[in-house]
Amino acid sequence: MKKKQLLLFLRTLNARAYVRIFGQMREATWVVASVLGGFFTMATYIYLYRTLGTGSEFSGLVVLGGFMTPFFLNVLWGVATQLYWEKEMGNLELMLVSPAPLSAFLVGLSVGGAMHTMLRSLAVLFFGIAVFKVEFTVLHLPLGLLVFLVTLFSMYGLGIVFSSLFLYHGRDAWRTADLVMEPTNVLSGSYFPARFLGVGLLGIAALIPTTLGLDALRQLLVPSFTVRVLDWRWESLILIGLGLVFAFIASWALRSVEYKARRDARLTLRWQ
Amino acid sequence: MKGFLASMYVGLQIESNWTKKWVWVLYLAAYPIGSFLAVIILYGVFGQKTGLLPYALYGTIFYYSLSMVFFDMAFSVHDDREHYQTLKYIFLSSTSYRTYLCGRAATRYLIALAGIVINLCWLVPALRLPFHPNWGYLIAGTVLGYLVAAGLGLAMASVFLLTIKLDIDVVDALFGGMFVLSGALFPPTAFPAVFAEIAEFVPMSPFIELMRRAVSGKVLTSFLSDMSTFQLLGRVALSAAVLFALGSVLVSFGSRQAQRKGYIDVTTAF
Amino acid sequence: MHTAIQVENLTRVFNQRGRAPFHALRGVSFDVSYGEIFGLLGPNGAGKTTTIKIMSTLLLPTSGCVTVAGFDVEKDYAHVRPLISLISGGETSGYGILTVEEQLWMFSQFYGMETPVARARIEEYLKVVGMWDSRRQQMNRLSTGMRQKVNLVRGLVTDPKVLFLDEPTLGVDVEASVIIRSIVRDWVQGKPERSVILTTHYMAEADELCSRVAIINHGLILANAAPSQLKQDLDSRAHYEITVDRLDGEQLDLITAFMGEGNDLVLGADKVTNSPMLVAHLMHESDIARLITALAGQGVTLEYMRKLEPTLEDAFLRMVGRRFEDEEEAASPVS
Repeated sequence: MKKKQLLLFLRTLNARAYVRIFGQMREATWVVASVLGGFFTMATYIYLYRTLGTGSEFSGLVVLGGFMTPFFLNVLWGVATQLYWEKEMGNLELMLVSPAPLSAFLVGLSVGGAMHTMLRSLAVLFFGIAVFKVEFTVLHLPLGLLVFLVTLFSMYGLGIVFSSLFLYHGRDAWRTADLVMEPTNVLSGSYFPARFLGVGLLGIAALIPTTLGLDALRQLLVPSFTVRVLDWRWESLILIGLGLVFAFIASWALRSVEYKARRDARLTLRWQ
Repeated sequence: MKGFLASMYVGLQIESNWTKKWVWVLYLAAYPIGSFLAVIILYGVFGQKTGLLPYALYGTIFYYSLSMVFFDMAFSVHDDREHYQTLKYIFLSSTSYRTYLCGRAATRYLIALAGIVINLCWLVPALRLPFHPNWGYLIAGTVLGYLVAAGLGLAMASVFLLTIKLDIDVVDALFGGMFVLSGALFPPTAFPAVFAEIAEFVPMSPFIELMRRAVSGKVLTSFLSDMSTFQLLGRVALSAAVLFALGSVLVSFGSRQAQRKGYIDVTTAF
Repeated sequence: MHTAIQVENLTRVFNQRGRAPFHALRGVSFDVSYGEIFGLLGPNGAGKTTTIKIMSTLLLPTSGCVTVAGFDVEKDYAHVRPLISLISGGETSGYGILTVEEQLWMFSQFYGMETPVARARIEEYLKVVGMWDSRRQQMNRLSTGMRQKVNLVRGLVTDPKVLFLDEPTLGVDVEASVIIRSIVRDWVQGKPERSVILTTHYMAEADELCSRVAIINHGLILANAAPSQLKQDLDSRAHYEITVDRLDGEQLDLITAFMGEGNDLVLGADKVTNSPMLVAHLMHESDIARLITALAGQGVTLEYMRKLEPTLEDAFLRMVGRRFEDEEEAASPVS
C-alpha cells in the first residue's frame, strides 16, 4: 500500500471512529441502560444455573459471557448491519463517491465500536463480579488480554465480511441478521459451555469467533471450570487464522459486492 | 377503527413485504426459536432431573409474545422518527398516535402468536410437553396479554417521544429486568426472598403463569400456586386495565410534549 | 486536456421483476469542458439522476463510455473519486448529532485532507456561506437552507475538479438559493480546471448559471446548446406587448393588413388596468417602428410597451412537449 493510500485509510478510520466514540458520549443514557441490560441478562443465567443446581464456577462462565456479549452485539448491529443504516441515511453514496476505501470506514466503525463497547463491557463485568461474588484467576490476566484481543480481531473481521452484504441487500439482510442474532449468541456459548453443543453443532459454532474466544478466556480466568472445547493455545491460533481469513474475504467481498451493487443499481436504493 | 386497521396493515407490510410470502412464513416460524433455544439446551443438558423444562419453555414462549409487542411499540417511535421520517405525518393525520401504535403492535402480536403456534406443533410432541389446553383461559389470556404488553409499550413509547437522545438499550434494560423477575425462565424461588416477593408483582408474571396453566392444564411449580387459575385471570385483567389506561395517559402526554418541544421530526443518527 | 467529462452513447437499462426492462438512458452523448457549468434539464424520470449517478461512479452503464477527468468511470473509478464531489438537493445525509464543523471535517478526512488544511478551508467556506457562527451547532438543529449550505461547503472543501449538483436549491429559500448560485459561479471561475454539472427543475437557475444546457427526456438528449441558442431556435421572431388607450377590431384589421404577411397581431386586455393590450409577433425587430407609426396613424396612444424574450422554460416546454406529442402519435393505433 502506498503512503498516500495508507494515510487516506488511516484518516478515514480515524474520522469514522471519532464519530462513533464521541457521538456516543453525547447520548449519556446508553451507559446506564446498556450496563443494566447486560447485567440483567447475566443475572438471568446465573439464577437459572442456581435453579438447575450447577456449581458456582458457572457464575464465572456467565459473567465472562456477559462481558463478551456487548461486543457480539456491537459487531452485529454496529458493524455488520451499519451499511444498511448508512444507505438509509444517504451517507453510503457520499462515502462511495469519496476516494476512501469502504474497508477504512468499517475498520473505523470497528475500532470506535470496540472502544465504546469496552466501557460498557467492563462495567457489566465489574457489576457482575461485585454482585455475584465471582472469582477470577488474576495470574493469567495478561494472557487473557491477549486472547481477548485476538477474539476481537476475529469477531470484527467477521462483522466486516457480513457488512458487504448490505451494499446489495436491504431489509432482507437486516431481517436475517435479526433472525440469527439470538441463535448465534446461544451457539457461541455465551452463557453455557460450548462443549455441550455436540460435535455437529460445535463445528458450526466454532466459526463464530466468540465461541472459541470465550472458551479460551474461561480456561485462563476460571481454571476450576474444566469443560472445554480445545486447549486455549489451539483456540487462539484458530482465532488468528479465522481473523486473517475473514480479513481476506472481507476485502474481496467489499470490492466484489460493490461492483455487483453498482451494476444492479442497489447502492442508492432505499427502503428495499 | 379505520385508523387502527390501517395501522395494522402498515405493521403487516413493514414486517412482511421485504421478501416473498413463503419465505416470510418460514421466517415467522423460525424467529421464536432464538428465544427458546437456550432453554432447550440448558434444561436438556443440566436440568433433566428438575423437570422444569415445560415450565421454562412455556414461560419463555409467552414472554416472547409480550416482548414483541413491547419492543415494537417502543422502537416504532424511533423508527418512524429517524428512519422512515413519517412520525410527523402520523401526528398530522386524524388517527391518534396511541391508536397507530396499538395497531402496529397488534399485528406484531398476531405474528408472534402465529410463530408460537407453529413451533408448539413440533415442540409438544418432540419434547413430550404437557398439553391440555383450556381454550377459554387461553383466548382470554391472549387478549389480556396484548393489553398488558400494549400498556407497557405505550408507556415506553411516551418516554421515547419525550427524549430524543434515548438509546433503544433502555428498552432492553427494562425488559431484561422484568424477564429476570417474571419467573418466565425459572421459578423466582431461586432469588433472595425480597426479590422473590417482588417477582409476584411484575406485570408479566401472572400472565405467563396463566398461559402456562391454560396450555399445560396444570400448575407446574409453586410460583403463584396460592392463586387459582380464575384468580390469576382476574389479576391479569386488572393489570391489563391499569397498565393500558396508564400507558394511554402517558403516551397522550408524551405526544403533546413532543409537539411542544419540536421532537416530532428530529434525527440523532451517528 | 480541456474535456472534463465525455459521455458517449450511454445506455442504462433497469431490469424489473415481472415487468419489461426499463430503458432509463438510450444512447446519451455529450461533452463538458473545464470552466463550464453544464446543465442537464428534463422532466421527472427523464434520466438526469441516472446520468449523474453513472458519472459519479455510483452506477455502472449498461453500454457506452463515460470518462471523468480522463478516467473511465467503470474501470478507473478509484482514480475518478478523488477528483469529484456530489451535492444533492434535499440531502439528509451526515450524522445529526455532529456539529457543522465536525461533519465537514469528517468528510474532508474521507478525501485524505490534512486536518489543518481542512479546517482552514472549512472556515473559509463557512464564512462565505455565512455559517461560521453556526459551526458548533448540531446538524439536526439546522433549517433546510442552512443544511444545504453546509452540504455545499462539504462539496467544495475537498477542491474537486468536477462538482455534481443534483438539484442543489431544492426546498431552499430565495436568499439561500441566490447565495448558493453565486458561490457556484465564483467557484468555477476560481480555477481553470473546474467544472460543474447541474441538474435542476428551476429554469431560471439554469438560464442564469449554465454556459450550456442539455435537455433530456425519456433517456434521450433532445437538445444541447447554450441557453441563448435554445431560446433563439424556439422562435426567431421579435415579440412585443403594447398597452394602448383604445383599439377596436376595425382598427386592428387595418393595422394588420398594413404590417403585411408574417406579422401577427393579437388583441387582448391588460390584466391589471384592463386597458387594451396588443401582442405583436414581428418577422423583424425593425418592424416595430412601422407598427408604432401605424398605431399613431389610427389615433392610438401608447401607454406601455415591453419586448418579450422567450425563456428557457418556453424552450424546454416546447421541446419536451413536442416529444410527448411525437410519442403519442407513434403509439396511436390510427397512425
